[in-house]
Amino acid sequence: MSDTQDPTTPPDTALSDELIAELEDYLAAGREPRNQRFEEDPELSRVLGSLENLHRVTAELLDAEARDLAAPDPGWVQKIMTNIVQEARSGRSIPLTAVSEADTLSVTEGAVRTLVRDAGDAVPGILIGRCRLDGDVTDPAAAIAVRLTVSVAAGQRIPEVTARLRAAVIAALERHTELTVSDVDISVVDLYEHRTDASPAPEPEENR
Amino acid sequence: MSDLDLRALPDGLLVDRATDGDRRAFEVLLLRYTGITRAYARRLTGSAADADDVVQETFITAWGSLDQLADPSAVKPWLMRITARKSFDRIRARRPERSLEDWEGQAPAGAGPEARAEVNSQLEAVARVLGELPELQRQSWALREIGEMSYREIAEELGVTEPTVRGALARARTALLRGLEQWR
Repeated sequence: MSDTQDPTTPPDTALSDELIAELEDYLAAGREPRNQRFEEDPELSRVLGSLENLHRVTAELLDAEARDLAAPDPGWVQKIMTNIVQEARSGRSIPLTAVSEADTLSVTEGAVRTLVRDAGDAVPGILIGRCRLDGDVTDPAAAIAVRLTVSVAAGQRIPEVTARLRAAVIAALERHTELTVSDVDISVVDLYEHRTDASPAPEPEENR
Repeated sequence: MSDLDLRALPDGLLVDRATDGDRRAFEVLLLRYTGITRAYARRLTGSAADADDVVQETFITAWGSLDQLADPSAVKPWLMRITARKSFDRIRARRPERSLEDWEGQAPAGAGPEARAEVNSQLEAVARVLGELPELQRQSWALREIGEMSYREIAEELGVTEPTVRGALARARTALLRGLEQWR
């Protein structure tokens, strides 16, 4: 547990800290530019090999630990999720026409984004990422644009699935809000693999 | 919508959804990165119990500051930085009374039973040596190897100089190499 040199160190590993650090920096740089001395000295090239092996073993150890330390039980996730408050995600206030003139009625931007996201997720073969409402949503007469980033299931025809998404978003907004939608702007930023098997998603750790 | 599987989404889109207030997307990120952040916090704090508190705080903080994440696809390094900061907060808060006592009892994390015996032994050798390293070396090593930080970032995190970090890492590597060689 001491930082001092262990007297039982075999002579061939008794390299100075500085040399080990230099060899490590050399490896970190991808062995570029080639260092004649490190590569050709039998002892130093052996140590380079040992350090590379150490990196491999370290990477495997970290992978194994991350797998073993995945969320221990549903309670763990629940505890964190209940500590997460909805708070300041509500955004602007979007007016709605009240039944009585004496009342004022509004819906939050956050609620509308959720509405759009749910409508989009319900379209087969597409998953929604970001949802933005561009324009003055507080003015019922102003035209607004809905901007979405999405992931499309691999193998889907993108023009068809985005057309269905556009229709679903417009229908949901017409049904639940009074927003004037001028445009639904969709960016496909990812393709995801659709799982066809009925079993739960395969996880690498399922071998206990 | 019951078969909606957000696990198919990459980090960036999950962050986008979570930033818009989607808790399910955040839960997927939480499940995706619980293991690595717990491993990181354990190495940094030397305590399984502290590490679990650190990771809970990390994700609660992350949820509250998602809109400050400039590049949503870089959520992993961002979570790792929060984990490191919370780990050091925790260590500072508990000084000086405790150190390694609840680390010692921890079994090294094993690979699955399918792992080849040889690899397993090497993993165990590395895990054992890591568990015995002095704090500065162990933390420098974790910040470098798990947190992927530069010498300068590690020095700032630990409040020491860059040459000190470089030396501590070299000594940690020497000890780890020796552990592997003894196993052979």
